[in-house]
Formats: sequence, structure tokens, C-alpha cells
Amino acid sequence: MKTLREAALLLVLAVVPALATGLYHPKRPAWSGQAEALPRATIAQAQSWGNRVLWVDARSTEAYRTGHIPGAVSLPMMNWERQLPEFLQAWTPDRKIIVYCDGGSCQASEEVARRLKRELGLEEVTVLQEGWAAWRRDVR
Amino acid sequence: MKALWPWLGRLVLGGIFAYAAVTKLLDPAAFATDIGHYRLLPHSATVLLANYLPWLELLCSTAVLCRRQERGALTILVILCLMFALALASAWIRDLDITCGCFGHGTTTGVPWAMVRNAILALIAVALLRCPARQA
Repeated sequence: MKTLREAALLLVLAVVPALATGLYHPKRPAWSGQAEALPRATIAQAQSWGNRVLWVDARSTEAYRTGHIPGAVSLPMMNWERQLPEFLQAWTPDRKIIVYCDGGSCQASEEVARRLKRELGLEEVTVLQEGWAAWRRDVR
Repeated sequence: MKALWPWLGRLVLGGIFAYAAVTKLLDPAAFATDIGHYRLLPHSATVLLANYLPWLELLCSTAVLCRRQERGALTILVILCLMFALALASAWIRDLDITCGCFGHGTTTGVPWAMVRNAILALIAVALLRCPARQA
């Protein structure tokens, strides 16, 4: 019984700072639904853009080494700081950025795309629909 | 050695949960994004959890380290570990390509390793709960 009382006290105590976080934290999560959806491109659309496309591989470095879209720059979240200079070297304002990950349910491409928009202020960032799996299926 | 392990267990459990809490508190919005990737909860519940869970972790870890309300804190930590295990297992089963979000946004831990670490933390918490108060 004492254990339950202690647990209940802690559960209630946590509510107070949690409320303050929700109201005043500068990085509090927004209540207004999901973040804005990112534009998506199919393989066919991406190919129609030709050399203007800058492919960004959001998968792990190991996966990138195993195989990637020709010309793609590796930029996984976990190696962001280290890989960013390579991305910046490849990027020019006229290029359309298409980020991809494994495909299906992977989230890495969206995370990297949002970070590129948020931290570098890039506008034209697109996510490849079905990712690497689609490339392997349709192009290779 | 027998008398030493509860202290060591407390230090590991409390230390890891305190660290996890602080990293999440630095950026609750990013933590909400990580929770969202599990696709288990509606957005409003995700926001509530992102604001609440880090504080609960911080309070419980402090309680364990300071030995105040310790058994209640350990009980909550065991329940949290079970919840994390379920969430991680569901992500694994659904083949979601996500990081666990255990130590804030952008951490690199994949689901399998997070499950192992979670199980170890749960075992430490259960062992401390079973430890007689005078020995601990």
C-alpha cells in the first residue's frame, strides 16, 4: 500500500512541471495536429528533373556503402554534423533535393528533409516515395 | 560485494533514467516527433506524453538515487520499461525503420539494442524492488 501511495505521489508531482513545459517551454510540441506534409516525388518525376536532382541518402552509412542511387550524398541523422559539409559542397540553389530512405515505413527521409528545411532554410526538399526499394525495383 | 550491488544498481538505473529525461526535456517537440514515429497514439496523446514522461522519469530517477519514495519510483520505472518494451516490440514487428527516441531526438540506438537495454534496466529495477529494505 505504501508503495502505491509513493507511486501515486510521484505521478501527481510530475504533472506540475509537465504543465509548465506544455505552456512555456520554447521547444514545446505543437497541439495543432501533425507537421506540414512534405512533398513527395515518384521515381518517374525525379527522373524527369534530370541533373537538377540532388539525391540525399538518409539511411545509415553502412546501407549507403552497400548500395545507393548514383550521385547520392549520404546524410543520415546519426552522422549529421560529419556529413553536412559534403552535402553543402554538392548543393547549389538550382538543385532539387530528394531525400530517400529504405522505403515503405521508414521515417529517416522525412526527418532529414525536415531538418534540411528547418536548419538550412531550404525550400525545395522532396521525399522519394517508396525510397530505395522503389529505385531498386524500377531502375536497377 | 553483496552489499554493494544495490548501490550500483541504483546508480545505473537512476543515472540512465535521469540522463534520458534531461535529453528529452531539452527538446520536447523533437521527443514528440519520436513518439509519433511509433504510430501508436493520436497526436494529442503524443503531445501530452512528450511533456509528461520526461518529468516522470526525472522524478523517479531522483527518487531512486536519493532513496526517497524509492519503492514507488521503482514500481513506476518497471511499468515504464514494460510500456517501452511493448512499443519497441510493436515497432519491430511492424518493421518500422526508427530510432528508439530513448535519449532524445537524433539518438542512434536502433530498436533491437534498445530492447536489450530496456530489459536490463527492468531487471535492475525488479531486483531492487525485491531487495529487503535494510540490505538496500
